[in-house]
Amino acid sequence: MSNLLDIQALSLGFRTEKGIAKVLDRIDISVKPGEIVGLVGESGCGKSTLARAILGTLPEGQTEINSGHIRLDGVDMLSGGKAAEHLRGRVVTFVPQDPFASFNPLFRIGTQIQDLMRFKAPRDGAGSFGRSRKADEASAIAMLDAVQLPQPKAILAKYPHQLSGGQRQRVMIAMALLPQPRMIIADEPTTALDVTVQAQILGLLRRLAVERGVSVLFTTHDLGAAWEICDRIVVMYAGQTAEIAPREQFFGDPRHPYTRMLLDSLPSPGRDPVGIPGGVPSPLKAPDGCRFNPRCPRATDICHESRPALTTGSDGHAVACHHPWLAKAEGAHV
Amino acid sequence: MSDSDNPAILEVDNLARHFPVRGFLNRQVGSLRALDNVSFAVEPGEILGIVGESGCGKSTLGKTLMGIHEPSEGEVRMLGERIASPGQKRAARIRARLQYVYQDPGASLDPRWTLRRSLHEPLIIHTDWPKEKREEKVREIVKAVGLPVEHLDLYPHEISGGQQRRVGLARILVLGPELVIFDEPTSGLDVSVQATVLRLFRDLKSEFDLTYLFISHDLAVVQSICDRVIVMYLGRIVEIGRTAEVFAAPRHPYTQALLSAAPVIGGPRVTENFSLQGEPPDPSNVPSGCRFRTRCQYATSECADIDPELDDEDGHGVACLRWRELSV
Repeated sequence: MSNLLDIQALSLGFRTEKGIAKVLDRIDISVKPGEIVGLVGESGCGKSTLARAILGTLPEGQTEINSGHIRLDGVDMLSGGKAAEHLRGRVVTFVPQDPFASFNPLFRIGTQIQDLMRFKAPRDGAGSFGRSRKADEASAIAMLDAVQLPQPKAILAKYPHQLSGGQRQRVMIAMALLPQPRMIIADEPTTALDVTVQAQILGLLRRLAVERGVSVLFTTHDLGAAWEICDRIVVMYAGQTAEIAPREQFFGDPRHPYTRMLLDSLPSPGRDPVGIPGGVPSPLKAPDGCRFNPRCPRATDICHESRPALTTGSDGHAVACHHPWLAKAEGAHV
Repeated sequence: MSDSDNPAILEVDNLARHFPVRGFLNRQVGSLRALDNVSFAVEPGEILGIVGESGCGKSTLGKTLMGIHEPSEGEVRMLGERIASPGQKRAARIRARLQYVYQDPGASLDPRWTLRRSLHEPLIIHTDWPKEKREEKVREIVKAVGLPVEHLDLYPHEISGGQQRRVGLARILVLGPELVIFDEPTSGLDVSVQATVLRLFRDLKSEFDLTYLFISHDLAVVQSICDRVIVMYLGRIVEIGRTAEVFAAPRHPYTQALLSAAPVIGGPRVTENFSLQGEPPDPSNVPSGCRFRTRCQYATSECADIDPELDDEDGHGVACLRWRELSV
């Protein structure tokens, strides 16, 4: 099956007063139709920038694209143009971290959904003039019902501040699904939510994506949430792809030293969390070679000189490291 | 309540905190019951965790203990001395012994003061030590939190966020407190940083003989660091006990749901059979009887009538009418 999203060797930076911040450095990621891919990394690793690059919403004047391409459904999203614009909001939609900031506080939920449908959603009701508002409302209600919001009709008449955080995120997911997209980019959609609400939202997102065959690119810094929902996991560190693996292999047999240290940092009873000394390098002066080398216990001279290529094994487990762990870890996480 | 011979360092008795809800012309139209009937004791040297979802009253509890809010009912005693009750003014010397750590302790540093001045300030307020003695103490604490002494001449913007956090902690420790209340100390941190922060907390605790009250919504962190844990729901304690016991065999239906909602790496996907629906009700309009009954799958008509008290068995208390029959 060909890839729905295909990103190859993407490097981009932002022009700042202090020079160019190289935020992404030759990123390779692909997403197959119907697949849920987790994009995991700590703050500052470039995962949100990548999500915005796919959507084509990076600040135009400041962004410098150095190499690579992003193809969504065969269309180049970086060059812009009508074709890319047509896909945005229709074929690929977005679920933000903070839904409150994405609603207009002055308009009712129903009005905002209707605006979205007028421009982006496919027509399914036959109206005398263009589309029918009644049919729009009916499909909006059906969708709010699908995201398990009680009394969807009453929700349409409410303002964003009248909903709770979990309800707002459900409405956001409904709005992301209404255009019948083939891909949803969810940027930390449960970070602001409580754990019981998170479980409900993650379950909903996974169920709807599987039922409708929608691909999801799910960025998160929460490894537990990634385990919960993803089929495949990509780890990024300081703008570089560190490791890509199917879920079980990722947690059971991590090969990149960074991935291993990240998993060892998770709190668990009876084990002292290890942590990673040092901090994420500034994109303004990123280290040469592998960007993890200043913090890596396995680093040697070659790690300072050349950037390890992402090499994929026969099992679909890819790692970019000169000295990957090969044997199964003692005390592995699965 | 306590099962050891040590006298409790902090005792909380029937504590309640209600906030008035104001309507037209500032008339009181209702009351938001953020805390109700909260009783527990903190033993010296332990780390007592307080978990619950947003709006359950855990931060209100921390602030009421600290004296930022005045209790509406009940009282708080520290080492046998009453430190908070309705209408009571708080003595300054209590504040030195009971310290409160905000989410980001570094954010409370004055950007125009050197770190030395920020660290001297609490000692100037609370002691009459000469300058040399203060400086000695400040240096000792700065070393203990893992910062070079040369940093004392720097301003907050010249050091990293992690170091600011350490200075914030140092500022709390110079007064030699006995009990430290942490309010969500690890939320918003990446796991690699969180691990180092947790280790620092643990090292400081053993070095300075501290007792911690650790408020968090992160179950994994609480499980890894706390000796005992309190689970709160809508202003009430629903379960209290040793961490290992509560996590291994939760007795209250809410605790069971809360624990089952947290993803376990390597475990089955919890989202596929997660049963708890909806979100907690509005705390200004709490359900009668057991506050969890509206979302509880085991609720009976009795639960609407009787507000369950904490039922303590072997130091593991639970506020549920039916926990005995459900645990069979």
